[in-house]
Amino acid sequence: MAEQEPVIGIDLGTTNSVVAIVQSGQPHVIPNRTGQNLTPSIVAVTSAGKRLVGQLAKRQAITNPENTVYAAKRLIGRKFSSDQVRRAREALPYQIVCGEHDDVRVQMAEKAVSLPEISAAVLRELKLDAEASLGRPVSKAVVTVPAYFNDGQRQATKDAGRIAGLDVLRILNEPTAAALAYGFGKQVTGKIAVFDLGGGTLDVSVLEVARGVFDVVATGGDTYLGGEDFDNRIIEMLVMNFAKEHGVDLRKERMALQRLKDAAERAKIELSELNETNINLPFLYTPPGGTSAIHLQATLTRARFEELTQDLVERTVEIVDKVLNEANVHPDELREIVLVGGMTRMPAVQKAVRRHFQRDPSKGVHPEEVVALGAALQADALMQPSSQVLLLDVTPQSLGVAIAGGYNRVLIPKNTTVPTSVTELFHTSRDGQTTVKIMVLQGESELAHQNELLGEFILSGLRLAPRGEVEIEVTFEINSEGIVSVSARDKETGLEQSITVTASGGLTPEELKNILEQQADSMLEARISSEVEQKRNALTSAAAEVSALIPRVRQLTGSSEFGREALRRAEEVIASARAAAQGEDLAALTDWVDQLERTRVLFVGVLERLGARQ
Amino acid sequence: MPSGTDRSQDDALNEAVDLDLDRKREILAREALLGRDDWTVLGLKPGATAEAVKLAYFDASRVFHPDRYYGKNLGTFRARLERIFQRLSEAHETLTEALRRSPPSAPSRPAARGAPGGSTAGVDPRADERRARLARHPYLASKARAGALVEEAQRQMRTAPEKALHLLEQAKALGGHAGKDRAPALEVEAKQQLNSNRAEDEMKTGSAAAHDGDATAAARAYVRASELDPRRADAAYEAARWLLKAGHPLAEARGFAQRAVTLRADHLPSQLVLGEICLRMGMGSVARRHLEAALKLDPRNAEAKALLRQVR
Repeated sequence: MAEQEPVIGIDLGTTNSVVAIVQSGQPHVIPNRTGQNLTPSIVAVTSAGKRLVGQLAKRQAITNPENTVYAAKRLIGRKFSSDQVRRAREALPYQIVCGEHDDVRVQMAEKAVSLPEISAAVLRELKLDAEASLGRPVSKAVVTVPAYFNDGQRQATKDAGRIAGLDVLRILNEPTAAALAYGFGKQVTGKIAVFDLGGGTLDVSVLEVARGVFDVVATGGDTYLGGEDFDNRIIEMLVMNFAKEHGVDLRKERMALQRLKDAAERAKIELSELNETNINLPFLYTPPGGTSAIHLQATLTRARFEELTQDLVERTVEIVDKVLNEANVHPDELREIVLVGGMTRMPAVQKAVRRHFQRDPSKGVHPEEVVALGAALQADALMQPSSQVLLLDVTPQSLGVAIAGGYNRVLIPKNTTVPTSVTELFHTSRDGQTTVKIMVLQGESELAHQNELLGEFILSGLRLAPRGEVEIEVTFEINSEGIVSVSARDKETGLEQSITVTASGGLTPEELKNILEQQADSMLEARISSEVEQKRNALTSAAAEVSALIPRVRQLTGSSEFGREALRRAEEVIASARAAAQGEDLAALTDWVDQLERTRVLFVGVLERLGARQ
Repeated sequence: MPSGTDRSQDDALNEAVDLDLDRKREILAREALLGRDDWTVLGLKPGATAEAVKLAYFDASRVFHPDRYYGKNLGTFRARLERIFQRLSEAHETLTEALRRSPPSAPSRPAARGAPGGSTAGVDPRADERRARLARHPYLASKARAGALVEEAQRQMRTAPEKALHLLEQAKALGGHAGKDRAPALEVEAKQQLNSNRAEDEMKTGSAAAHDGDATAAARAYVRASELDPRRADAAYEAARWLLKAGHPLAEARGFAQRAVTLRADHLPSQLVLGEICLRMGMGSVARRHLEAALKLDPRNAEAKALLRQVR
């Protein structure tokens, strides 16, 4: 009988990548052709025009900084004009240029190379490693991405696979993969949290596990918080001290910057085990005019490093809190906390997690390999009907449509288990409107332009009628492959239009805002916007609460000038808020609810203080 | 049922897809339930616990999630599976949320149903009959069944802890005193037994890998063994030793070495390995302490002496 074709799992990381496979039911890492489990995610072109990938590329990075591309994952699927890319351009020694569709390209030697091509070079390397180790061709893979990657970034990663000659069976979220590998064969039952702090991103996921089923309850994170931010703090410190001492800004020296980056990363890693480390960079800077070169010598203690990065560590814990909150999970309910990613070796990170959850995180998973192992397990689960593993994954971000007034109406909220579909009824937003524009948005903001535009289409030929009379049914669907499709149907005529979201729109907020303004005439209106309804209810109850407090406040403070003034303002707020409750302006409603809440807090505080004195 | 539905069922059963007839029937049968209440959709009786809801959802997902048929030609069954799975997810979510807010504490629902309005007389001639009917009610019958399951689990505990766990899970789902109080306590015991059995297996795997000279595999197995049974000193020691050999990060190895020494301070090799790891990590004073402890156990141990010289 012919053996089934091998399917690999790939963790395409910001700094390092790993490839793994399941053989005879057990997942294991495939070492690369130099015998290492980790392959640096670095691609370079030498002066002779030769392309290098992995360790070879890393080794020559210092002498060839302009043509050595690392951290491509931070740029993939993003728009050149986005803030993130603008920030990255300042920090990276290689040159980033703008492609034809506002996409990011990297200038390597004479060529502007797209990001999927760069990631493809890494993927191809891993594919070759796997083929060398297995002795057979490999053409199918599951590739992981951070949970917080949006649709565009996922598509671009898939494209990279295609360029590398790999059929990407599934794009899998990294923390989910980690949980899969962690829970595999362990008979874990209960809720587990995965804290994945890698080179570029922080991902947090909560899963419920039983009988081989891994049910993702919630996922969240920060795409711009990772190991490199910690490195950058060291670099900044070194650059500042160097400038103070020698009056030279090293950030303008590409080669020096590359060496600083290496040294900072090494120092950071060493400080996970040692209390102190030395940074020695001889001949770091040669001043023009033939004077002798300047060396950099510094000592960094763990305490100082922790001080430099304290806010970053605190931010990680805040994000964990947010995800648990969204998942309605109390920290006590967690069975395990799994730490993943090289950065979780940092003692301060472990300490913060321990303090926050009041318990020791689980050890024993190899933080750098566990994601690839999980990807291999998912690949195996998909291909082998006999597999015991089933993953129930969720949408990491909300999906909605733009509605009149520039708001985002969410149809599929984040953390919904896929596959799923939702249908909602909308109506026209003005008299005589014969076309509607359906703009598909991804993101959490109430304001349409602060989300990502995934795609758009027009439904035309609507009956001439007053505002609100024509009904349009909008259906969102995410199938089991994670592909999003959206359709809109005129209920009366049965006319229908639809799109399958494939390419990333990825406009900047300003562009999107402009488009929305231009399209103001053809927007949908939510039927009875439940957001408006909710805010109205919140407003009414907040107003009632404040009103109820007024008599006591008057009794206690009414004689003072401050008291009279506060009471007068409170009454004004209540009156205006109640007036706003008649309208449908969501932003105004939100505003008044906030003001009422502030007034309430003020009054309660006053009553507590004065009440206690009596 | 109109014959039109029968025909479409027949069409579906005859559809040329990569599913056998039984699976097709199973899918069509579940699809026919989608309009019913959340309990029925999950194949449960009303009043089940949150745990039972979760397990029913997971078990049904194993059958109906489209990923279970990845790469297969499913024809109209793909849409059917997606519909079923979505409905299962919704039912699971609704019931879980409802049970989180108000866990089923008393048989209020069945009792209320068992006492129809009307008879307000002090002595109700039908009271006995009603009581008997109540006893047959799934909720009360389930109590007796939970007790039997717990007893069986206790018998299986030593020899087949996995089976015992399964029985206890069922008992928990049924509730009652046996399900709520006894089952969780026994569950802890069964898990410990299971883990210690597993640890034993991992130790064997580790020793086989060590014999073959595969340090990484050996380390991995011993690490698992030590995790499954953290009080097993030999597992912790082997884990530390092989992590060191396989070139894993020292901090990881140190954790296990420390565990080994804590569990068995008079075990010379454990003291040695911890000493060596600390030495390599640059923790001189700690290394010295453990190497001196090793020398106390055997004053002539050459390895301890050699390592100690490196500290100085």
